[in-house]
Amino acid sequence: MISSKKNLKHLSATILSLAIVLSVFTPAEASSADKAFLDDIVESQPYAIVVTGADNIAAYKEAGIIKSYTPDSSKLQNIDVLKDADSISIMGTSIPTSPWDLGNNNYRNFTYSMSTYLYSNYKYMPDAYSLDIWHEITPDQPQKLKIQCYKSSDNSTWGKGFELEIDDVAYAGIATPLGYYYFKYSSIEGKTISGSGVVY
Amino acid sequence: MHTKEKVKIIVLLFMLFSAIAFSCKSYYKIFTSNNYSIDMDEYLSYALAGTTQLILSNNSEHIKILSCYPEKDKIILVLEGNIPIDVHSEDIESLFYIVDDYNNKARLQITGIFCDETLKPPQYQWIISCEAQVKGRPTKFNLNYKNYKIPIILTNIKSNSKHRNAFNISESGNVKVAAITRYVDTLLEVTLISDIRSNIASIDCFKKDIVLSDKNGNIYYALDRNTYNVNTFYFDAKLSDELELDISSINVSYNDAENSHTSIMLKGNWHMLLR
Repeated sequence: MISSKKNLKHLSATILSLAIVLSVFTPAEASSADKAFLDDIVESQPYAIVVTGADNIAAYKEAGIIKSYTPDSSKLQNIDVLKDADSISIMGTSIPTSPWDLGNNNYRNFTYSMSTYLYSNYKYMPDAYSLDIWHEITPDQPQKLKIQCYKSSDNSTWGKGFELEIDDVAYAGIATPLGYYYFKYSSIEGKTISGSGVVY
Repeated sequence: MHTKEKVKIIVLLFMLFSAIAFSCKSYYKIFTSNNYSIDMDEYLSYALAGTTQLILSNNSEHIKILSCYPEKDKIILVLEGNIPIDVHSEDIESLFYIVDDYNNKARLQITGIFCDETLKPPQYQWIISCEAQVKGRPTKFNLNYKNYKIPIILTNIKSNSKHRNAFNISESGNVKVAAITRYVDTLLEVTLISDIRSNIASIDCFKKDIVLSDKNGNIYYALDRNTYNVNTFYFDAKLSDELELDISSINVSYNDAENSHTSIMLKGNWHMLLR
């Protein structure tokens, strides 16, 4: 019992540090249980920390501030192609129904091209130990991209979403309790933007 | 000497050495906690390698750390932001402070504020150059703004952030110039601006006197485009290509004691890293 309490305390401390220093989405419409949980792990205002530059990212990964994933050639086929309704192939424009468990380094690659918005191809379950979902995004051109997270259970927003102005590889992490979450990506200015990324 | 006495002496010696070892360990810990283990010359080569940005969910407000590096017992920072602040207020310094892993706190002292106050969001942006007196030689600390914590990691890799976006162009006087950047469509907009707390009334830079170069040796000249500010220039370039802005001439108008302007054309070969 004591051991499990200690583990819980340790886990809470880990979540706390991740939630505070990295990227936090405060739930806009979270249940009371979730709110109680989040009261312990997030600050009152939602915010994100975005780190750019390959050398800078390497330093933040080494310091344990940015979570890493291990590239695995056997997962190269796990590429989700996301294109919006203006493109020839219409994918990712509806709310995803297929689940994907991100635990055990089970990340997914994706490419995107859109002028309006699109959804992730999967609803993701975060790693049970870290309880966060990370995005690595490499834009093809300077762009303004909004990322909004949703709880899959009731399609409510998880945080208010963040508007990123990026021209280089960028990382953003979101603290999430256990459950399924999906993402909506929007081109803020309605211009065609493209790039690639990894969800892990 | 009896065997019992020998044992006593051995035990006493063991206890003595244990006590010394414990003291040394504690001593060693004190030193490492302040990062004195890093040689000062090596420490001065540390810097933030890229940029680190705080984005608030509301209204896309942000604070971006463009530059951060040690200089003797100080940490030098250049911050960019669009969070509404009264740039003329003395209270700005109280908005920010640095805190390390050991809860050592250091207030920021502002050395320059750059802002075009005629602009409204989303064009409104400011740059603040500042410094903080720190204990030890910290390489990992937070910049705190209100309740937000922005983690900063300094490394000694080559691609650092020293002298980025703001510097003093005058060797004899105090002529601080900053470059505010943002993307308009896919073009890079660069606006040169002077310290609003200085006695400089305005600066003027001509298109022919500035040029950009990137890490691959590509040269970018300012495009012909109508601008809202004479010191605003557009380039078909990306900040992620490690851009350097080269300036060869700036006209500086000073507010003098009689409240009239004195203009001086400064010529040089100034280089500023951009983000």
